[in-house]
Amino acid sequence: MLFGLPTIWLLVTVVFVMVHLAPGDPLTFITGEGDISSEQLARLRAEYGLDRPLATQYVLYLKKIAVGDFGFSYRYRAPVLELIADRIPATLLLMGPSLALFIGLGMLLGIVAARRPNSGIDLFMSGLALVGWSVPVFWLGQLLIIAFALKLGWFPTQGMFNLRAPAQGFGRALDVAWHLVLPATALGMRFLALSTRMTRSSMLQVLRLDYMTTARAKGLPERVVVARHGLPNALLPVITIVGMNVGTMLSGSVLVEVVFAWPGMGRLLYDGVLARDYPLIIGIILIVSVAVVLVNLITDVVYAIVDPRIRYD
Amino acid sequence: MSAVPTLLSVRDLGVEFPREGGGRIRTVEGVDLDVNAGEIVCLVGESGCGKSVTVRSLFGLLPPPGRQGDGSITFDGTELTTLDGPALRALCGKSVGYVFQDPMTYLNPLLTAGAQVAEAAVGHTKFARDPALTARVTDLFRELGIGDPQRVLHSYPHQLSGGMRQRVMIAMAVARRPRLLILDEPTTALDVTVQAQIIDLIRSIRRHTGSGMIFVTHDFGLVAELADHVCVMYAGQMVEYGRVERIFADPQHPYTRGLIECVIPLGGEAALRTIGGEVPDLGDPPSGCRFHPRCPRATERCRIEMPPPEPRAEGFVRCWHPGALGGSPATAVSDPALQRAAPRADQEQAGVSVSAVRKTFPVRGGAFGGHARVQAVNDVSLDIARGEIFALVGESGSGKSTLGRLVVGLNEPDAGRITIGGHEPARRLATPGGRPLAQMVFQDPYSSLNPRKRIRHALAQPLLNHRICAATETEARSSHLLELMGLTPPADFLDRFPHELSGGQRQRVVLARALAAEPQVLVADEPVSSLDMSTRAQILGLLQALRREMGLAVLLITHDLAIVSKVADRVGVMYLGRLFEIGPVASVIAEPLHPYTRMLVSAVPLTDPGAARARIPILMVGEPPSPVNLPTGCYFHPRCPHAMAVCATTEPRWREVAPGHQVACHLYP
Amino acid sequence: MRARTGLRLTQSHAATMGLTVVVVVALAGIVGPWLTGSPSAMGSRTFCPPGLECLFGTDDLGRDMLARVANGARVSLLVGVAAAAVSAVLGVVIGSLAGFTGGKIDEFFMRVAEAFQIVPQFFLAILVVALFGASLTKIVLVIAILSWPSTARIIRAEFLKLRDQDFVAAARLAGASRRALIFSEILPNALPPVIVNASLQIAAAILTEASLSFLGLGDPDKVSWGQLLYLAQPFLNQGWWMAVFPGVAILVTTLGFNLLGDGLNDILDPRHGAHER
Repeated sequence: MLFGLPTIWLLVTVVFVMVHLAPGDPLTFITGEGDISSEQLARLRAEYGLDRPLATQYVLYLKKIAVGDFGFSYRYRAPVLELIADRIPATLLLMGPSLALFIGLGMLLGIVAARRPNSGIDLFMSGLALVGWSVPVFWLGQLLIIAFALKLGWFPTQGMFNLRAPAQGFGRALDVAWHLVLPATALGMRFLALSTRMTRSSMLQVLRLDYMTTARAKGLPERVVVARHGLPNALLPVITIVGMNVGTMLSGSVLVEVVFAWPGMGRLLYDGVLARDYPLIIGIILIVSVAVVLVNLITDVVYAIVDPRIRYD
Repeated sequence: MSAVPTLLSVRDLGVEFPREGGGRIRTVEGVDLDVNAGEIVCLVGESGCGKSVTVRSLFGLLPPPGRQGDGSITFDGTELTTLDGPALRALCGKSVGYVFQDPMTYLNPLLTAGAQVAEAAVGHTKFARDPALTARVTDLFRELGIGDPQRVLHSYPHQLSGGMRQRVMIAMAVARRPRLLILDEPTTALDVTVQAQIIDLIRSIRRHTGSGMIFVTHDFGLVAELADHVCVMYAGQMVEYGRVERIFADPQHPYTRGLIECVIPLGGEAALRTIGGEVPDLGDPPSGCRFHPRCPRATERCRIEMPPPEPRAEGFVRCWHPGALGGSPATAVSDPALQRAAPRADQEQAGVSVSAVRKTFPVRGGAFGGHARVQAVNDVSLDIARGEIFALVGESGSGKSTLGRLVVGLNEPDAGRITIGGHEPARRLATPGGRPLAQMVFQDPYSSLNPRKRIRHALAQPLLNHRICAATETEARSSHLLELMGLTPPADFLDRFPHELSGGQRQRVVLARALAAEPQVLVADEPVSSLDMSTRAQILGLLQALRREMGLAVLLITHDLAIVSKVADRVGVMYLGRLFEIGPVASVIAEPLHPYTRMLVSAVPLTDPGAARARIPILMVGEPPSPVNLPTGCYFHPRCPHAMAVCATTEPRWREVAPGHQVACHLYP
Repeated sequence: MRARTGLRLTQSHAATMGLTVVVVVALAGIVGPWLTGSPSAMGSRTFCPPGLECLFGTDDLGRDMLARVANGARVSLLVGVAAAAVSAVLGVVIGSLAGFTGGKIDEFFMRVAEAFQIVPQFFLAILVVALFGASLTKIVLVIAILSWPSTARIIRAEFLKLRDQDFVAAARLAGASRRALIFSEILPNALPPVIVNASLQIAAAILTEASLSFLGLGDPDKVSWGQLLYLAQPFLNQGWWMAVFPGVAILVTTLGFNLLGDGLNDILDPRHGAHER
């Protein structure tokens, strides 16, 4: 279980190596291209040990991460961790519905599709799922904007809230929700598709398995057979996919936040890339990586708890 | 008509599947049988004859796209073909119990045994809060001989042994005291001694409940042991149905007759017999009576039309030429090609010497933290002379396969020595360019040939790599080898892929490949277990001929004592990595000394119904031990009915009790 | 038992459809640019909506969208196929070695592979491009390096399964060298799932490249579909066609490769076919 630590360490090291392999003065990666006086530059050079051997720099780097110091953005004049913490709620808000669609609706559709394989309904749903999986997330966002915001005017084109709307309470929530619809749809589509496809294929596999025949031979109605014996076994592998795809979902959120100017962490990253704010870029990537590794660990643990074959070996 | 009302009556049952390329094909047709309460009907046939499909279609358990075709099925007075899906399912749950072949895949891995049996009894899995239900399941377990019902109640399938799992399946099947029990090859996946236990259990169920039973099997010995009536199937058609004594004494259908003659009995002098030809593919069966291509009595009519059921002495037969006259399709096995083969030019003293060999394997992961080791082979010594077939007998976990791999050189022993003609096989195999001293024939002829390479490659590989002949000669050499193995004309086979050949043909290719490298020793690991009964004798005959004509030393690894009694010269019995008895085959089988050997001999189903019923089985007690945690003293003592105090503390020493016949057991100090 | 009919692409509708789409797109990419004219020629007719005069419309600088989309096909396909190819080679080599050798080597590589897979790949790609600059080669390499683990795992799983099969032991007894065992005996049997995965990886690579370009991290000299969408973002109101057509192109291409992959998977599934015993 503590296997997560080596992975995090590996990631952190890879980032370190990349930063030092990249062309240019490493100091730029610490300061970005902001406005800094030369004394501050000298001080920073000493603080990060840039004149010291690489090994020492590495140790310093690890130490900083261990205490939660992911860098300082000179553009925003704030520690990276603080900036990210500020923006995470918006990203989570965006990811929430996607996750729900993924786990809820996707599995449902997958089950329905698997009940009558190769029927009209199945082909239609599988086709939709395939299209949903093939669509570029950001383009879907653009399409949604063009169709529903610009042409039809049902939803706002950008942002998380209207400056003229109430700043608190139920009105605010409603306003945010209204702004959330299009971006969440764009982000969630891909995962809805993934979940549908996976659930369908898993169900089809499981429905063919021998112990389903045993359950039927016991006289149980098909409904019960599928629900009690088929579903748990079929959904088990799909649950683990959720963990593996958190990273992909975060990646998708970057793109969606850019298209919709949604003030989340992804948008922050984009701004950072544009402005060459290296501490911000590096910091975000480190944090995201660590978070994803943690989520995966949790998924592994959940899987081990749920599957008795792993629980009792 | 018998006085007992017929429980299940099947007439002209057919099952259809969609054909590749459109249309449907009747894979199963013309099945007729009757099951009476309190009686067992054995549905017997070789693999791929459609018996599983038949038995599942009775109560709507066929997976789509299969569909039950015409025919009538009357169960307890109700015509089943008139019932719709849910009604049939409900009837099945209430009055029928199914037991399937492989309890590992037929049990839900995520539910406990108790939950699944409770579900069979009352339709839901929540037994924990219901003491009455828990008691009911526990009692059921106890009735079925499960010694520790509490533990099994809360165990998951993967935590139970094979025999235990099968008992759980049986518990599920009998939970509602069904009128009819359908058992589809319930013991095929089990060890022989465990099979004996389960058969005993089935007999006791029949005695106590009066249920009717359909027992599907390919083993005629089991038929003799259990059946009241027998229904014989071939290639999806029923060929004969009747009382067991009559079927054995006076088979009417030529296939039945041939099949019975092919069965290898324990001991006896009869020659090995086989039915020429191959079992057809159910996807594209012959027309008319499907046995006609292999039948000596076949006429034009047989090719055109499937015969209707003709009543014969309380049964039926579907044949245009039934009866005792007209000959049997089974012929004695002989390999004239091999008899003409030149004996080996070099007369080396090439026997196998195994001396105090030990082999352990690490256990991966699990609760042991990756440091435990399995003692696969523990201090085994034996010798095989040139031109001798030595059989190594044991059940799963006995280490016999591991020993086989050690003799061939695929693994190296951790302690002790193996030599063939003075050289060590493992070392020879590890030397680049070294020609192996021994070759191996594996159990599964499909996985022992590379599915993507033609037969030509399989044969050329050893010839070229070991420089047995020049590249230009490989074709001639390969053809010669194929001919020796009875695959003629060889040109037909060289360019084929393994999946284009039948199991028997593949096994011959495997033998040919083994011989190509000119080994001094041949290790055959369960060479015929996956072959049809009617073709097994061919491969066994080849082995005998090889030993005779080429002077090969053969190590035959098998669990089937009947084969041993027919084919081998000497036999050794292994259990948990140790040898316990060794000696000439006739002596060991006629007078088994070690209690384990006695159990093995007793577990071989007899092929005479009278003798089978009269025999009292010697059954093993207890559960197989964990191979990581071996018992002290004599490994066998926890399961031995004759265990004494000394057995738990000291390992028994070898004693020669009869000429050449040795045993390691405290009963013979 | 009887011969199985050989693997035929026509056995799966998905495979045939996918293959058709892929071929069409490939042709469009190869031949298209010659037929459509220059993608960078600016013109006076800006924001011309799609119609008879300007088929796919023109953008803010009067450039012909049809030509731009056709040229984009080349770039996107190139990146997709190249990245998947490099990833496949890397994955096969590492996976075979790991699967065949086992032990410490296997564990090491699998840890590395797991690490790569868990990591949010897109973020790493952003980091690399931000640090090292964007060029087509670099993008291909980045995508390949981030996606080899999935191929490696597949091959490794196949190797683990096949390594213990009897025919491998038989090949050893027939004198096959280690190299022969890996490449001649096992690998041909292990490849089918890799081929399926390759098709899916091409689709994923095309999407990744498009995403990177959309963020402005693409190769500025090469006009890929993602770039076109990036350039379209400020003009969604005035020229919706600037975003729609390149996007449709991506969708269709990705769809094609995904379909092909799915179809191949169906064909290779041993249970394929209506006939059951």
